[in-house]
Amino acid sequence: MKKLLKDLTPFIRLFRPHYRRMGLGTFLGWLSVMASVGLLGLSGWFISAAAFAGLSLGTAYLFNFFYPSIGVRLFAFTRTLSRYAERIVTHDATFRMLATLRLWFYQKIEPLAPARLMQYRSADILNRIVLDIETLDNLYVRVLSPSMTAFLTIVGVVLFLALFDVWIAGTALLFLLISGIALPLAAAGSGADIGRHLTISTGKMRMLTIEGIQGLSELLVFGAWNQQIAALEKESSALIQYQGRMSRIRGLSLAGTTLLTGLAILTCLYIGVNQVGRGMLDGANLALVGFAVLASFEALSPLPAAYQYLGQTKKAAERLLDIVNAPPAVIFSEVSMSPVEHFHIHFDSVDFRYGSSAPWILERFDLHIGQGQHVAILGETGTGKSTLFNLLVRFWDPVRGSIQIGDHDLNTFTESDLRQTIGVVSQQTHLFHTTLRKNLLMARPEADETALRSALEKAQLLDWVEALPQGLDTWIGEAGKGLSGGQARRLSLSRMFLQNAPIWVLDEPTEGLDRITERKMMQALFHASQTHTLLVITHRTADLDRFDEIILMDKGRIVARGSHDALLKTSSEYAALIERG
Amino acid sequence: MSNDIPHKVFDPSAPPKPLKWLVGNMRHARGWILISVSAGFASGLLLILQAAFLSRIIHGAFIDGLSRSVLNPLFLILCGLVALRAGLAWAREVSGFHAGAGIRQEVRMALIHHIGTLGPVRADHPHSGALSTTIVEQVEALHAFYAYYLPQLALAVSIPAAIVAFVFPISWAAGGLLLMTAPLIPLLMVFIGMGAENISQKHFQALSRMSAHFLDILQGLPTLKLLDRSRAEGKSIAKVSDEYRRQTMKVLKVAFLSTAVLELFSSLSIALVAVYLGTTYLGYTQFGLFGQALTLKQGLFILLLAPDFYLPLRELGTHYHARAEAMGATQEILDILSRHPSATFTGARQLDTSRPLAVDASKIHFAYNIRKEPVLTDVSIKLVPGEHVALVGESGAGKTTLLNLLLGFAEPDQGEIRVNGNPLSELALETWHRALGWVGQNPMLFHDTIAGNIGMALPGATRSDIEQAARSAHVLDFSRHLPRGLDTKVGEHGWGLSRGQVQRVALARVFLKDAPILLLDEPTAGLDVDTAQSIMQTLTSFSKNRTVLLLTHRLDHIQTAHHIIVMTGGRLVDQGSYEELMNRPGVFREAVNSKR
Repeated sequence: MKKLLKDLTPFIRLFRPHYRRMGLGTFLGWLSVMASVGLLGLSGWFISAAAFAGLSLGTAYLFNFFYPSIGVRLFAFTRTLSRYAERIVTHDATFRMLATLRLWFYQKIEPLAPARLMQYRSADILNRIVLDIETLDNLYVRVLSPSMTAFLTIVGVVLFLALFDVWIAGTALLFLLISGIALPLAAAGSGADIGRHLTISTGKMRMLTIEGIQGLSELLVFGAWNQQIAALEKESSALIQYQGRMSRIRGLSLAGTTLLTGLAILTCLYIGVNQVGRGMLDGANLALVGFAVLASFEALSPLPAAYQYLGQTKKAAERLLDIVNAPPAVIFSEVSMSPVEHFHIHFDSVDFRYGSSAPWILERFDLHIGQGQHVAILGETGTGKSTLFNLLVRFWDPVRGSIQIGDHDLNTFTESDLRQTIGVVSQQTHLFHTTLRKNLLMARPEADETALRSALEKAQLLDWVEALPQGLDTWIGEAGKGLSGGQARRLSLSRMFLQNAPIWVLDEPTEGLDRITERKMMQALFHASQTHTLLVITHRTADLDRFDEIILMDKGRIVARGSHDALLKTSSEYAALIERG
Repeated sequence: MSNDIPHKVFDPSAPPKPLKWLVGNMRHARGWILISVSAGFASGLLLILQAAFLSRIIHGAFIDGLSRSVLNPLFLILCGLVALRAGLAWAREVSGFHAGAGIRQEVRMALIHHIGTLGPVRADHPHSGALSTTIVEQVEALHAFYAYYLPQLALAVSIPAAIVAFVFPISWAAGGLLLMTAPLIPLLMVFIGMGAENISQKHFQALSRMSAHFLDILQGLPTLKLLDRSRAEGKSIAKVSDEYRRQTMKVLKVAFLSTAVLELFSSLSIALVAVYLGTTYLGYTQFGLFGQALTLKQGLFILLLAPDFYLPLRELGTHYHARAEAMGATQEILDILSRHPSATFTGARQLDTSRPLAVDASKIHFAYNIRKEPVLTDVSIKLVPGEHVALVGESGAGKTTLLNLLLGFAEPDQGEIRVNGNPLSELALETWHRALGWVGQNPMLFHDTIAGNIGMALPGATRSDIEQAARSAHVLDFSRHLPRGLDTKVGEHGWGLSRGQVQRVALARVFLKDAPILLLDEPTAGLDVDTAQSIMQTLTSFSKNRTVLLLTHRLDHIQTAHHIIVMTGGRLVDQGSYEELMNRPGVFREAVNSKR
């Protein structure tokens, strides 16, 4: 329980701007329960007292039924209205909290991206993060607010009962506490472990399902589909078994609530009957007491079910905090320096590896690329080419050594300055689920129509865009769906053109494209890059003769460099590579 | 066209209506639902009894001045009633669970089996993510419909009826007050239904849109960073969330009114009953009592039952979203179940795989969708035992589609594929697959060890068979550097293995299976030149004495093929040996020369 509070506290604190709204929601919830208590209690008292008074004509005549009958109607309306208001206020608050949570999470992970997020790259895991945040959204509506309402109700009802009889108030307190605290905690305790199993089991089943569908061809051709079905059936049964245990706990807590509610009324009446006999309690109040106790349990009944799943909320909180508390791989300078004037790139004795136990990718790596030069870095997968990209855009920092642009160390740039200096097309450029226009504007928010069209034209994409019925306002599907690989790549190229930074770095820009598209794209690039320092990382061998210099890398080292023609003569490795094409 | 591909059009009459299907599925759990309803109804009856005894106690102590010892038996009976109701509450929950669980398992397994008969081509239609969501999450969404909604529907009618039946004989006025609202109940249910459906739909829609937007941003975070937009994008998250909140709240304010109305009914009926009873006792009103005097215990009894009259209905309102969710899920489920299996998955004839196998595909036409461009037009291809055929063409030429047809994953719209004279659609697909070794473009590795991933190709393979295959495919070359060798677990999507390594594991599968026909779909796609070269070498030596069909857009590695077929735009444009093709003008020679 302590651990639970520790994990949830940061989130509860995060909700501070919404405390007022949350408080109002809780108050309205409480008001509604108290109106119920009042309605039932007053009704009970009213008819008891009226029945007693009605026994003789004289008293019946004197009985003032005006106030009670106004009172019950007042309570009836209060109950309905406050419940309605509570619903609106709590839902509104939940939406606001959700926005706060997302913004908080985003601001926390933004500096961590992408190095520390590498392990969370896959859509599945990102999806889980989103679900985890949703789970925490429920914290207020399902747990915090009902708990507070229950607490206030207990206080209110017990104080009210104490006006009539201390013994009855004490007894009610006892039952309310058991039902409002012990029962939910017991549910939380017994649900925690199963909740963990549930999460694991659901994850396994999802994995088996995705695997089964994505690997359906393999499974069918290799005759392993029936095995996969059997595994799935087993996992689905396991999941259902854990859910069954959860359901039994729920059943028990429902039974517990029913039992405690009933016993609370009976015990209070038992004491009350005695007090009436001893003349310590007016008989008309007997119904009031019994009915008020009955109504007050309305506030407690949702608690056990909510607490039962608290373990899962805690797990979600843990996972989010784990991600958020990771140290960033790179810290940018906050102070902008005087503008950089030269754009040559210099790697000075750089050592790098992706983790303290990972193999070294670069060791004592030196490289100089002159301003305005067009350079291709060529090599097989795994030779450290993409690492050069990651270091240059400061997704990672060198373990030792330094990198400079125009004689300024890379880590003296602010993040913004660095991004304005280097324009990139990375291997996995993400296209956002919005219009073409908005996707382009991300590169330069203030760009006008002419600039957008010119960037598209340079990337040889304008004809295609103009042929679309909605042109630039065409909506792009999820993760760029609806665009071919070549179109997506050229769109990211236009983004780079728009950004118009002095240095352009492209990481495998033509990977996965057919030769015709590849050629078109490279032509577009060369055409646009007259004055830019251009660095293209690739393993494809087409169009290499158009670069000023080619750097051939192998196992983190430069094995040859020179122009295409020179290398053909001097480097047998290069010649062989071109030959195999 | 005579064979107008009926399976591709969803037969609009065939898929049942979601609600009908949902209710029809009850047959899998009729017993449990019955128990759940009975427990709920019994609990309702006991509640009426409980009200009767409670009012007797209050009446006895207050009006008759009875002492506690006289009332003790009543207290004891009530204790028993409460205990019974607790037991029934448990039984109701647990039996409801069993109802939902049984049906979920049935539906889930039906979906999975069905996907097996659809095959990868048809199953993949929207995209695999949506399919797995249906199987995992949407099936879960059916639960509450059977566990809570359906039983509650029965109780929402039966319990109020029972209460009226008890109240009416005492006071036709009070009973009448409740009864008057009774015809409103179905109306209210529709009303609540619409309201609740609106609430849950709008609420979930807003949530899922916000989540989708958030997910999109998280996935694109590296890109945002590179475009120097990552910090500014935080504002957009806040803005989008705020927008959704505003829109949703507008709808919710109206939608909540429906539940408020029901609550008002319940509250007001208590208030009105109380006022009516009170004024009756005081002698101001004198009607509705069948001419008898009203005692306190009768009054209290009626008052206690008034809120319980509406309670089942209110509970139905809280379970109503279960209905909306189940209906939504059913749409998705039926979308899959109503897809007709490919005819190739229904064949039963066995194939004699001990004999050499010749494949003859003649005049094949195929389109993924009748409305779309054909992918294959009049394609004929023969695989003679022992011959190596290379199928070349740019990506998008229809090579992989043809391969899918040969694998039996889809059926040609026109034309026929025969294996040793047997139409593929009449063969039991397993026996045909037994004769095939296949390497796809993106081999799938499963969450298992490397050895397990190889071993899946041949159920019953021994460890030494697997090691042998791993050695031949050069898997051992890299696995020996891994901490646990062949027993190293492969991570998500082969994470941790390079593309070339994944391809080698896929080759090892084929080696282990040792089938007479090899179908290779761009086995070197996305690999660097050296790796591609070495994989092709391994394959070439394995291919001896086997029938091979190699699909490729690269023009290296094909000189050794006996026969080369050139495809463009879904048609065969040329074929012959390498020399023949190089000796005559055509697409092939042009392509080879342009590369030089």
